[in-house]
Amino acid sequence: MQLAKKLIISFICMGVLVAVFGYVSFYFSERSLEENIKENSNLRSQGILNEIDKNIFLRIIESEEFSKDPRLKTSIQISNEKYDKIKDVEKYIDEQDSKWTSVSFEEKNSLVENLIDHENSKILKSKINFYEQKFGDLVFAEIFTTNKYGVNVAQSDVTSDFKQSDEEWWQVAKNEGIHLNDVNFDESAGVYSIDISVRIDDDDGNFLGVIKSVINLNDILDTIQEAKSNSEHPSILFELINNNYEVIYSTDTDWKLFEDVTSKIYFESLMEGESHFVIKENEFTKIGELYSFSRSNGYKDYDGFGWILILKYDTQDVLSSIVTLNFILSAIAALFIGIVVIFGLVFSRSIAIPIREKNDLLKVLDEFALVSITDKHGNIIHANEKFCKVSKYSKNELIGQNHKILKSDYHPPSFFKNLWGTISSGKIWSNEVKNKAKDGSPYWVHTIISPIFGAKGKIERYISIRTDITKNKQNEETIKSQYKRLKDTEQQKGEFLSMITHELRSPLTPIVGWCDALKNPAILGNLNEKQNKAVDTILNNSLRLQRLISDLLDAQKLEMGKMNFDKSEFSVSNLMNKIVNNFEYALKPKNIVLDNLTKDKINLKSDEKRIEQVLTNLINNALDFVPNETGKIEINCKNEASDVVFEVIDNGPGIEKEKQKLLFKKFYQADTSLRREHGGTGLGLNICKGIVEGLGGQIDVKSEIGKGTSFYFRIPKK
Amino acid sequence: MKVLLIDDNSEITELFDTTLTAKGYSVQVTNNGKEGLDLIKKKESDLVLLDLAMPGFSGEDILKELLKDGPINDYNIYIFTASVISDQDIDNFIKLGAVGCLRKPVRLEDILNVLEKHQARN
Repeated sequence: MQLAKKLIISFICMGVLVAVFGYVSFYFSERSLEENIKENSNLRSQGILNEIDKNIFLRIIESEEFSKDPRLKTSIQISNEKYDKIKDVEKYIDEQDSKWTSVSFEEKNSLVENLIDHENSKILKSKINFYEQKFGDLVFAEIFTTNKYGVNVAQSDVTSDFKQSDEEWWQVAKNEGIHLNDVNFDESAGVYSIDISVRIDDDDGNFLGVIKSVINLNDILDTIQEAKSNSEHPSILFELINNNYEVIYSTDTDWKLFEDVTSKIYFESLMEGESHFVIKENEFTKIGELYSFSRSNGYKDYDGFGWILILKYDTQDVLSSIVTLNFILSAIAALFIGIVVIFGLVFSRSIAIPIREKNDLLKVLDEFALVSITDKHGNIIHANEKFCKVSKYSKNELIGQNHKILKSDYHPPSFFKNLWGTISSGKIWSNEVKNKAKDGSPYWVHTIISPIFGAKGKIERYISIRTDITKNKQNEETIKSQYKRLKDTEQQKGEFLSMITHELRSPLTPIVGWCDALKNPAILGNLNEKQNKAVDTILNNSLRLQRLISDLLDAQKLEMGKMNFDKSEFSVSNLMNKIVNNFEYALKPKNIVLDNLTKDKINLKSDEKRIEQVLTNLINNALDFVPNETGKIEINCKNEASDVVFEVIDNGPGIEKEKQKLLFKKFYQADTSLRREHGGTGLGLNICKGIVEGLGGQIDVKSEIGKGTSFYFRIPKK
Repeated sequence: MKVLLIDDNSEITELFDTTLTAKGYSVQVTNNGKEGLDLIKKKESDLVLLDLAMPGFSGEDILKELLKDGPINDYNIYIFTASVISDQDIDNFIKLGAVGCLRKPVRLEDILNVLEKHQARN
């Protein structure tokens, strides 16, 4: 896969990770916000219930306070005494009660009025009025007292019964001191109420009667109404439920008292615990609803009725902050992912392009060079395909191996010592190395090893780049061996020549020697003319043979570049005179003239003997071609700017233009038919050329048929 | 003047024995290197002509043997050879104490010149 794609994918992965992280943190913050709302809502419902319980507790305290009123006690005492005197008091009471309940309201007026107009009734009424005034609403809907026979003694308003002793509350209050009645509809007061019945005792603790207070529920439930109006959530709904799961109050507009809540959707939740929190979707409206439940725990020694307060919210309303948070977080996450992806794209491109270019370079390098990386000890940690191909090892075989496994025995230890010395000192080493492949076959590589430094500036690894030069090396070796063979041949030729020279000269020694002896009458006596001529012929041919040997040796030396030149300063004029003298003996019998035309006094630093050899050679050549008697040879030496020019001029037949160029070639002879007793090997001019050029000069010829020939050469002064 | 010629080739020794004796020199010859060495050591000759390339104990061996006792200036040795030797080689022999060098084949005239010059020097 392309690097850019990889980078983009990794950036997208990063973005997704951030999104997941964001979602998780969002989830937890949402949960904690929900927890918070739940807690607040529970606290609120608990608070409201507490307030309600506290109010009921206060009413109980007040009812107990009423029961201690001495005026009430006295009037009940009087009533008790009155009833004590009635003979069949039970029968009397039943008659009175049936009379109370059977007649119409208007008809029992006389009886009721008796009670209502009772002094105590006025007291009770004033108590009700006092509280109504204090609280601004009816607190006590009704208060009435009974004597110990359960008969009403005083009452703030008309009661439905006259005889109360058959009522459960009366019995409980008489026996246990107090009775609390859960919410009901008070028939006599005409309100939804709770009742508090308290036993009244005289100062000695004897049972006097019971006082019952009917508490207006509206007053208590105002607390709920108030809480709703104070709530920041308009959708909030309060529902107060009694111990039997009947609605006793609701802020809903069309609620019904004692409606059974067990049919409502939150019933199951109600059953689960004292107070908690649940979110449900309303099956009709499809709107999420959030319920919070709290159960009343009473207040102080009042245990409470076990009421449940339900707070119901519209989730959209209550969780709007969460939704907002949700939206903000989502937006931030989306923005972040977007930024990350865009940055990733830009970054990937900016990184990928130079890396791709480098990769292309590496690809080309891998294709043409053997690339390997080793650690600082030379252990291979990377080798490219080309490396494996040339070394014939697989990658697995190479990795971990020391580079030494490729070492051939070709190079001396000093070679590798130099290599390690160079690279371990941080320098680049480069040379041609002969290595050994897996199958033992050798291969040549041009090697560059470069040390790679770590962060601390210490060498960590080496990168080697090699090019396969085996073919070049093979060619080179072929050329070398060819050259060596030629060299060997040359040397053998040289050795052979040395040997042959010695072997030829040795027999020449007695030949030349005896000829000389024969020509000297003092040694072996006189020879006749014919004998003398014969000896001359032997001697001349022997000397010719000797020159041939010398020329061959010189030619060989020149060819091998082994001719030594011994340069020192000498007088050219003296040399020229000496040469003329040397030829004096040879010229005499032929009447050939040799003139030295040199006028300049010249000193030259060069090899005098070799220059003499060249001049002698040229003069000998000339002698072969000039006519006897009229033959004339001139030698001359001129001082020019940087050279000294020597010249040998003859009045021979001249040389054709085409042949002039060939004169200095080895074994070339211009005209063998004209050769005389000096003979020739065809080496003379070639040797002259070799010597002159060896001394840094040049040799040439000027000639015209019929006008003679001039050989001249220039020798540099320095 | 006494001349000692050491050369394995008897034709050469015979030639110079004859010619030089005829020219009035006292010539002693040997074809054997070892014998030659002994004769040189006796220092009875005024001049020694020493061939280099000899089978067995060669002229070079003689020189080496003589050089063991120091320079050979006292022996008046002329190198007398048919071998290919350069001017450089001759210089080296002279540095070691040889008097000079004669290349074979030698002209009678040349060898007589050498003897005369040597005689004149001493």
